Amino acid sequence: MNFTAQVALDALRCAVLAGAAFAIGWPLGGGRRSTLRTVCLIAPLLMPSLLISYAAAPVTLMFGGSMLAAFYSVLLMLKLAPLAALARDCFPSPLSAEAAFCARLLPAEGAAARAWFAVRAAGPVPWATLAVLFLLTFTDFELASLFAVKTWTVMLFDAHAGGLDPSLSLRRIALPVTIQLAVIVALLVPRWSATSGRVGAARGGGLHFIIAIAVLIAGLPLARVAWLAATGFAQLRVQEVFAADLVVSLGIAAAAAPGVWLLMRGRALVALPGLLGALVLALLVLAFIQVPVVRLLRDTPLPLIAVEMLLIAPIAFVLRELIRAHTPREALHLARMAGSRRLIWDLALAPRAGALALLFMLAYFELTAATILAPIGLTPVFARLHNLAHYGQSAVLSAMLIAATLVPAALLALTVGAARLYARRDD
Amino acid sequence: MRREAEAAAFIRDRTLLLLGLVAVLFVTLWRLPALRSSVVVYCAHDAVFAEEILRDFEMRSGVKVLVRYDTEATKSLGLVELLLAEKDAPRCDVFWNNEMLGTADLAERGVLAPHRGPGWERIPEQWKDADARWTGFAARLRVHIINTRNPATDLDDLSRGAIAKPLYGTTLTHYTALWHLWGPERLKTWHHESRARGLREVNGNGMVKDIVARGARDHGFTDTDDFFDAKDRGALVAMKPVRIDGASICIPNTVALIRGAPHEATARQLIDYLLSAEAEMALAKSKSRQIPLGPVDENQLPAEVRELREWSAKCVPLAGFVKDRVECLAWLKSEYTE
Repeated sequence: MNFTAQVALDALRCAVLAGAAFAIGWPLGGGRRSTLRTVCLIAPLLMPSLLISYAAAPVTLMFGGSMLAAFYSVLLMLKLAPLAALARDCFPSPLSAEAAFCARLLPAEGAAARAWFAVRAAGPVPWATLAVLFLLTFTDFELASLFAVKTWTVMLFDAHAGGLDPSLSLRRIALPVTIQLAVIVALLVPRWSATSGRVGAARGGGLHFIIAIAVLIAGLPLARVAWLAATGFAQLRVQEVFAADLVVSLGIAAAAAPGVWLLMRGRALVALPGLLGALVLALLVLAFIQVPVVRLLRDTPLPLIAVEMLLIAPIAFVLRELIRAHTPREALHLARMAGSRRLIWDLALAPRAGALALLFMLAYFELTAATILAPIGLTPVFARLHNLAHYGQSAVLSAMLIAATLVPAALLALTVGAARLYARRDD
Repeated sequence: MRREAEAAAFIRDRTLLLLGLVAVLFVTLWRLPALRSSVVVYCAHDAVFAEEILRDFEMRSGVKVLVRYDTEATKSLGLVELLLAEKDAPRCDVFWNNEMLGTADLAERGVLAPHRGPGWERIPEQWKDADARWTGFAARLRVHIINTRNPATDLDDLSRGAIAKPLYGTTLTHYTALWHLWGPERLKTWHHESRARGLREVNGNGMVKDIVARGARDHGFTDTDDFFDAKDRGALVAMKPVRIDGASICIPNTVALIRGAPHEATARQLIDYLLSAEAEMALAKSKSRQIPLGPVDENQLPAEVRELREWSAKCVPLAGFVKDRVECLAWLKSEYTE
């Protein structure tokens, strides 16, 4: 199959996957909030591809071909499905109970009107969620590569074996970029407006499904790798290099996530370069920083931070738009006038914190650009773990993998928890 | 009021960005002395084996070594791209590659500089560039890894075999040897027929090893270091050298001085160390059991490495295959990416 056909096939496959992830995840949103539920929704999203493939090795080694491709697709879909539930949690339907009641009174023959009403009433959130799910599945490289599944991202990588002229790289990615761009532009067409947001009225839930997905995508892999790591945790204390790598990755993600959030303010065009994908963008920036005037930047983390920012910018853009459309401005204004930290947190800061956390994790787990652009002596942790993983599984490597996964999650939980606590102190 | 809020946000955003830039500047300035006094190595060899050798060099010489490794996911693409991109103003001093033809290709592209040190002198002609732009050391062999639980394993039954994607690494070298010795048409036919017969293609040699060790396939094409890794973990595996027209495929590590290296003197020192008998012996005694190419004390070699040395006595002369590699890779890219 040639590259163009593969891109078309992947676009179709990812549309189905995004739709399936949405169909599974969306009904699970809007339920009663609890710590267990939140942890179970977030955990699959935070599972790095390397850990999943590492834990799934007994399965992936036994099967090949279409079985493996199907397994990869199901894993990717289930990994991302909780995102839809979280989106529904964070951005409830703008439709009031009264309007929903009126909609049900529409005459039966007005099926088209009813359908149109349902689409309009849903607001931008389901569409934005679908778009994010599509972008994340369509641009996946790492999991596909680890599972040896043929996708356009893997083909693009292979095309660079032995070097590829940048102009040929750009020509090759024109179609996938166009597809991603079309998805983002389609999001902008409807005129989203700020709504008051109806909180807590949805009847979603399905905690047992949420737990099942979390167990499958996060629990089982973590348990298996933790079991493999049983004797390796003690040796982590002497892994100074690993600790340094961890700090490097955390630092880069900590710079990239808020950086792109600030940069995106009113600048939609910033989202465009990220559509080129990690490989092409990193190689272009690599070529750029060889120019004498900017060559000094090569020994700084700036090029890598900049590329990580650009790579997460399309997702940041969608999230920003979503939050902008869903921020109840009047209520927020009143909350500010009243000086209620809790209300300001609930209305404005909590969605931003969630978005920043997601962007942080995307930047933290990114591998390709990190491998190509990291300054000498500053190795991102997943670049090292991928190198070490070549020789299969060991207790120390398993312990490193667990630590590399849980440390940022714990830091994020602490940060968001502290912010929430601060916000609630005025109760 | 709204304007005031926007102005406040503007100032806050700029302040945060400025603070970020200051932090990056601080990190850079903090690292600069280390960058200036260190020798920089781009290393395609696995960190688990290379780290020990490089730390030993640090201990002996007192020179700090900064290493950039590659990953299985990005193969050696990242390092080769980096070296090519940085050709006019290199940051790297020494390139340690885990195979030979890629390094020879870089030499042809003008990335490497000659170095004729004592290390170069001790390595036989067949494993080094006549112009001293690269030198081979510590080799691995291409082997069939065989799961011994099935005594009826037939190496010709490709439906029970596995191989890594041939676009990279030692599998590309393997294909290049076939391209040269069989000719393009025979290789293409074999490639298509083997896939049609069910030869499973996976991501890398490590995965081939795992598949065979777990019994998902009876045999596979891999390298000796992967075989020994499986064996050391207790897997029921055996190996046989891959032979083409009676010659084995022996793939050395290679080391090269980068043209315009910022720390040339220490780079030469490191290259001589890597090509020394001590370094070759250390790699032979490591878990990867690599074959010394220069003269070493045979009595100190592990028995397994002595056997490998015998297998490698007659091997394919890879050094002259650079052009074949370019042609073979172009064909493979057309197969896999177009």
